[in-house]
Amino acid sequence: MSDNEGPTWYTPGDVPGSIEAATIDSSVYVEHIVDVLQAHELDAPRSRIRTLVTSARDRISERNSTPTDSSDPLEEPRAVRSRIFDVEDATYLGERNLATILGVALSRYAGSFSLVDPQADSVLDLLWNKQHTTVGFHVVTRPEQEPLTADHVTALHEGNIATGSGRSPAQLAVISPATATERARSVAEDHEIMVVDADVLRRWFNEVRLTPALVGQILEAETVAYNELEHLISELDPLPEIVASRDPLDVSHSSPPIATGDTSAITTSIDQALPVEDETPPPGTQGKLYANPSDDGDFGAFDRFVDNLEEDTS
Amino acid sequence: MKFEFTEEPTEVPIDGNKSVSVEPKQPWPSAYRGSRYSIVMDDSFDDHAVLKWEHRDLSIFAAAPNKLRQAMVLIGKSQGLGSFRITAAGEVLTKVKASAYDNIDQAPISEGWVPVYLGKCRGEIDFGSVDTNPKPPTNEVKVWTSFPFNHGERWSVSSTGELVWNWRDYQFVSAFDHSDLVERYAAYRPNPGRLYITEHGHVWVNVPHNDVLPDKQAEIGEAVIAWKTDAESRGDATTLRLVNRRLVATSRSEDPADGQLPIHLGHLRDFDNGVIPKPIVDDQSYFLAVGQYEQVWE
Repeated sequence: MSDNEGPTWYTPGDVPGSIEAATIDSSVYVEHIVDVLQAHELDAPRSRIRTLVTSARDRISERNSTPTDSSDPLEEPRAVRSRIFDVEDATYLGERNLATILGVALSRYAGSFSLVDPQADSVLDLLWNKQHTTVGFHVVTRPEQEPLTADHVTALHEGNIATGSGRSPAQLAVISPATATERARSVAEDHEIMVVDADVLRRWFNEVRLTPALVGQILEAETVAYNELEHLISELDPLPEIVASRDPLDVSHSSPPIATGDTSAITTSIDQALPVEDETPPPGTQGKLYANPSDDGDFGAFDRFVDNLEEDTS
Repeated sequence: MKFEFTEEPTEVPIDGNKSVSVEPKQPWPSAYRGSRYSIVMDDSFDDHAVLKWEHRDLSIFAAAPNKLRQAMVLIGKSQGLGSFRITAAGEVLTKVKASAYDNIDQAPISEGWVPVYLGKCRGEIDFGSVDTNPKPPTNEVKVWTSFPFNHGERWSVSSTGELVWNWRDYQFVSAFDHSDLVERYAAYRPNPGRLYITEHGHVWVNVPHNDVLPDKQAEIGEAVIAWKTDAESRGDATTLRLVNRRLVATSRSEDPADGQLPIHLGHLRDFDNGVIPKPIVDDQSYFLAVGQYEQVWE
């Protein structure tokens, strides 16, 4: 494999160096590192490689979090455990800024987005254009402690959804960093409106990994010109395939593989979604399993089960 | 082999070191047990009857076998619909409301729901993405990839090494010796626990990570990794989900990794000359208890 066939952090034949380089780049997903090392360097079970990567990253993070002397080759201090934009951060944004960030997050998976012109007097704030459909979002900003209620859902149901331009949305959704009440979910179900609340956003933010600095750039670019925002987004590394292949509106998945730079969480408390593509069979299908994916448990449990077996042995 | 249902008699061991031949449509004189399926009418199938396996939100459908449904109709099940069981010997059982049952004079109870023997089945119901007759492990173990709920007769390995069929306070010991099977169980788990035997003779058990004999831990770990790698490479969401759900359902913490992994121990033909465990019901009050409802909690 030649150098230009892999990601920039990957140096063929240099596993420690590659892990270190990937650690420095906080946008690199651990699962992506495991993918590359498993494909090109290490003939070992995935869980073993993951453990290797996470422990190496921990060591590097620890080393870099301690004061360094002048012999440190890195001239500028860096935050290896750089945090990512999360749901709590989202509660501090106004509607338009939040709509922008959510649009960027969605477009990282697929498609493109546009913000609805405030002059349109529409209840919709954000349109997500996918290949065959458009989803219209009513963005609700809420303090963390206050829930997303049925009134918010009703506001979308009864509001003006004409946006004055672009495709009409085929699917409506109410989206908020707050947690939806049961009543809100019930009303939404009655009106075939999707609810995207804190649980789902937590997964999105963990998967798309926007740093606060990047969020700042995005919001600044949005106020300047849309093409500048587009350019900024186009410069970002693509999401790992396993993440990009998911439908972010499949609200069945709970929390995600990696939350922050704190990699110890990977093997302890982070939920992992079904690691393969999952299609709900159409009604009236024989021989296919019907399931409510929200009842699934953490799919990282298989690896932890094995790890626990080994711990019990030692 | 394609699923076949035939109305034929079966031998059932009973109390007093005896056995009886039971004809189709006669009351079932033993424990009501086995894999649970049902024939249902479902809107999404244009009101055609289909065969269903389910557990909570999980469900999967197959074509309803005509002969079986016909037998269900003739025994008094409205439209041939309702739940039925298949024992480890392939015996098909159902419950018939006493008031609609022609052979009520032969039954040990006169009201409620009478367990009735319908006939025998051979071959596999075609559930598509779920194979109810997976290839058994040869030397070591595999992850159990078929249904992890409502699948198989639920037996317990007692502290004295017997196979016991438990339900509520009833405990019925198997009529036969199963020392090979119990030895196989004990090779992996040091403590008494459950063991499931399906209609195709497969034996699967629950394995918690902290109750596996040390010399088997690596083998089980490797079985999990091999199964998971294979499932991911084939994009098999079904097996990943079914095993995941077993862990979730049996975990006592919020972490499914603390649950019990379904492990395929082998096939009955590999133990004790292939003898099939059969409980001896030695307490007639069992029939009163089990006949109280069509569906009973297990």
